[in-house]
Amino acid sequence: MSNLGLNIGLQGLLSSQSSLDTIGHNITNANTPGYSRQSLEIGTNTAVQVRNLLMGNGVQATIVRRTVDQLLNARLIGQQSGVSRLDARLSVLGEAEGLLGNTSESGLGKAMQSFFTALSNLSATPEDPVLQSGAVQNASQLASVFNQLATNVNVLKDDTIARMQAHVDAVNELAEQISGLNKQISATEASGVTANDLRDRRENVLRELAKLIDVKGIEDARGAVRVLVGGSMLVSPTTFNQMELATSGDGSLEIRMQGQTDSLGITGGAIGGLLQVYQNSLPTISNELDELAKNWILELNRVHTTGVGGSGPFTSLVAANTFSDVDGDGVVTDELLSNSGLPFDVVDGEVVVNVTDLATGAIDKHVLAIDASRATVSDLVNELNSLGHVTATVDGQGRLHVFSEPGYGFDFSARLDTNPDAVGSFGGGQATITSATDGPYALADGDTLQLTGPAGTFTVTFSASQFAQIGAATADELAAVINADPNMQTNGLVATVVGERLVLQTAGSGASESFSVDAGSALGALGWSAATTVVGHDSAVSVTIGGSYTGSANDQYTFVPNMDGVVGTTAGLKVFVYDQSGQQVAALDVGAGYNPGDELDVLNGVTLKLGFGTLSASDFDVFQVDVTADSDTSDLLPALGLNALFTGDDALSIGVRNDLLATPSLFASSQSGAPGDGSNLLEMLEFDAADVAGLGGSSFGATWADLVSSVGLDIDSSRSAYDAEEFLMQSLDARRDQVSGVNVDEELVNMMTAEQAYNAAAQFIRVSAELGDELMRLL
Amino acid sequence: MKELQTLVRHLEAHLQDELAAQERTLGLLEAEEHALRGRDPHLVFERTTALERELATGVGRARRREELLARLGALWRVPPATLTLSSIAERAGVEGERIRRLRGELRERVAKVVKLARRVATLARTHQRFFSDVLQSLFATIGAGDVRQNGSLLDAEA
Repeated sequence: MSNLGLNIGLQGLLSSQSSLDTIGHNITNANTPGYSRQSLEIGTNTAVQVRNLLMGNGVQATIVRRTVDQLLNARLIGQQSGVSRLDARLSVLGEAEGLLGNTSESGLGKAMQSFFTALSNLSATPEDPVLQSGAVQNASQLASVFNQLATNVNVLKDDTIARMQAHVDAVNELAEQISGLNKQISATEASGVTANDLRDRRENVLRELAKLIDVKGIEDARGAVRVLVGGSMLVSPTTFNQMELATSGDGSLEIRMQGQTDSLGITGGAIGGLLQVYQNSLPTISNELDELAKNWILELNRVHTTGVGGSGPFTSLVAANTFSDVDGDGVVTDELLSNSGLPFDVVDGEVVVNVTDLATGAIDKHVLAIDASRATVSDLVNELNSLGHVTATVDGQGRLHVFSEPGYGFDFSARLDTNPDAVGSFGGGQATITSATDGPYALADGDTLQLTGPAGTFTVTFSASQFAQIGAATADELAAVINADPNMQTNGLVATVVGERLVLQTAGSGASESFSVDAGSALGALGWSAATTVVGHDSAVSVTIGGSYTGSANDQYTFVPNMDGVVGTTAGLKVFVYDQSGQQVAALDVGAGYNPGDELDVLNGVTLKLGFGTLSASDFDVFQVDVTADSDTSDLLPALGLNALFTGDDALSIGVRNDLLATPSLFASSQSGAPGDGSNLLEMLEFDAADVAGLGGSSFGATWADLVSSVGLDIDSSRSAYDAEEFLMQSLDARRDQVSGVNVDEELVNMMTAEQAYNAAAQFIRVSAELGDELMRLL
Repeated sequence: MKELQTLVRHLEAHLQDELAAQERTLGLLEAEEHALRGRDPHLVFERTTALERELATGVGRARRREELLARLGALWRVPPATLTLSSIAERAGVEGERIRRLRGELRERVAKVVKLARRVATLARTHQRFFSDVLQSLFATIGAGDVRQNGSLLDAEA
């Protein structure tokens, strides 16, 4: 009996010891992250039968229990995942904002402004070599800023990949830890005790995991937890899998289990945040930056390629961009212009090629029709070669070379032909008659034209075999057939073409020159009357076109007199001007009152000066001027990079043409090539504020500002979401602390209360014993 | 003679009261022991309070006992302090037979109470020392001193 009593006392003491140990454990781990408060549960010991009595056997500590709310912990893990996703997103976007929002000297906005300032300075004195060099250097600086920005974004992409890889490695490590803890917990709890601290550790590791990815933990009956990621098992009760960062078929990054091909579709945690930024935000920044650079290159080159440098027309140009062998047959010249590997689209349109006689300044303006979806590279080369005085080739690298014969130059500008009546069909000194209308002309096989010149009368007969289609004979065909008649030369006559009109004239000038159109079945088609005598003039009318065309569309102005008369003398003498549609657009008084040589405003910035001389409406005097608003409506020149300012086609590849860097005087400031003409610069300067169709109708500056501010807005919205999610997580954390945390004050108060209770009990019991002793003395 | 019989009857009644009181004390001590082992400070306080109330009733019984002993001493012309229950039973002769029996029962009962009280007191003191040691250890660790001595509040999480 005494042994039983001692045992009961010992167990009681041991229970108290366990309780103290638990309290001490709680207090020691009060600041341990993720620690769950533990408490000792006490139960009555099994009674012991002594002889016929069932004796109480004291107490024993039955279990040390964690105080946890599993549902709350699960919510915390999910919340942690969301917070970490936004945190990672904010981190990368913050870096992106830092590199884009650079407002220092090297910022893109500043570089654009510097470039436009340099153009503005140059426009005042386009021939100033210092200012030319400044403009080129600013262009180069701007290109460098684009390059740096693109590089920075790419570096940020690489950094993001590296971060994701590090996180994936961490996930694999944590999965291994959870698996190890699963085994320890199962083994420990198999003996009937609860592995509280191991469970806390596992809870902590799970939360660390949730910082990286969105996970779901499910505990089985034996205490092991299964960890699911995107529906796949990362940790099972007995083993664990490994994740990997891989590249999918379409080149995008994805997270998957090793040995599997399906993406886990991770959206949460730091990895989810980084993946989202890598796949959406950074490409958007990159694409918008590239789009900005691409449009910058295209728009500025559209202007520059159609300009003329200070040194005048070019004698040689090499395209900056190359044709590619798109169809893979080893030949690049058979590629269609619309699909020939150029960085910019070539569309149907026209390209003006001006071939200039450098000795006389005479311009031969050619308009090449570009049928991009049908014409090949070879067709383009052939067409250029057919212009005369210009040769085009494609080198082995697929680069177009254009060069002119000695004594000639070429350009692609919209400049006006200042001497449009080189033929002399408008009051020229030669005896001249022009067809009444533009061709083609409706001739018939066997039609004739009888002419009389100094050497006598002769008849030209037109045969169907001489025309592609005699019923629609062109002026060029007619001129060729007529000139082929030897009587033409014998009589000192020449057939030529002005625009689409046939011109017959004497080779010599002066009032003594004459010929007559006698008869023939072709007269009607040409608008001529029989027995018309044409006489030359001693004084030829000089025709000078000036100004710059300011119209919005390419056009052709046709100038004809309203009557026969002498410039500056004949009352009522006018020059009517018709546009390409045949609409009269101007009537210029050139009769009595007009001082020959004075400049007359025609239309849209075009001016006309006429010298003294005789005009003839009877002989259908005429000259035509091509006025060009856009000398390349096909975008062939910027696509080729022929006479380009910028090279490349995106933010990373943009640069300045090498020969411009070496020779800044090639900077195409002018549209006319005339000294002091900075019209091309002014057109480029319009892009300082002009809306650009390729940028959705926004200007370059506004697009850049939008790009920077969109990143800022993205950060703001992410930060707001982060703050809200973080607040919620803190609330959940606080609730968890209430449930599972250790309140050291409370634990100490409990201990002090117990100590005082035992103290009081000991004292009273001692009194009780003393009273008993006193009573014993009476007995 | 009649006075002796009256005093003996009163003493017998007192001993009956004392026996009942010792029985209650024994029960309270057992309950206290259970509370101590259950480590529930509030229950310990409750049981200690009950024990305190029971002990308080002993004051009245002691006064009554002293009064009876004084009257018996006066009757037999001996100092009351020299009287014990066995000498009273012997002096009372036949009248003291029941006192002798009650004395035996009371002696056995008080011995139980004293024995249990000493054990439970030891148990309580041991528990108290455990908690005291732990508290001292914790206070020493956090440098707060013994709050029981200086009465300052403790923010243990600070």
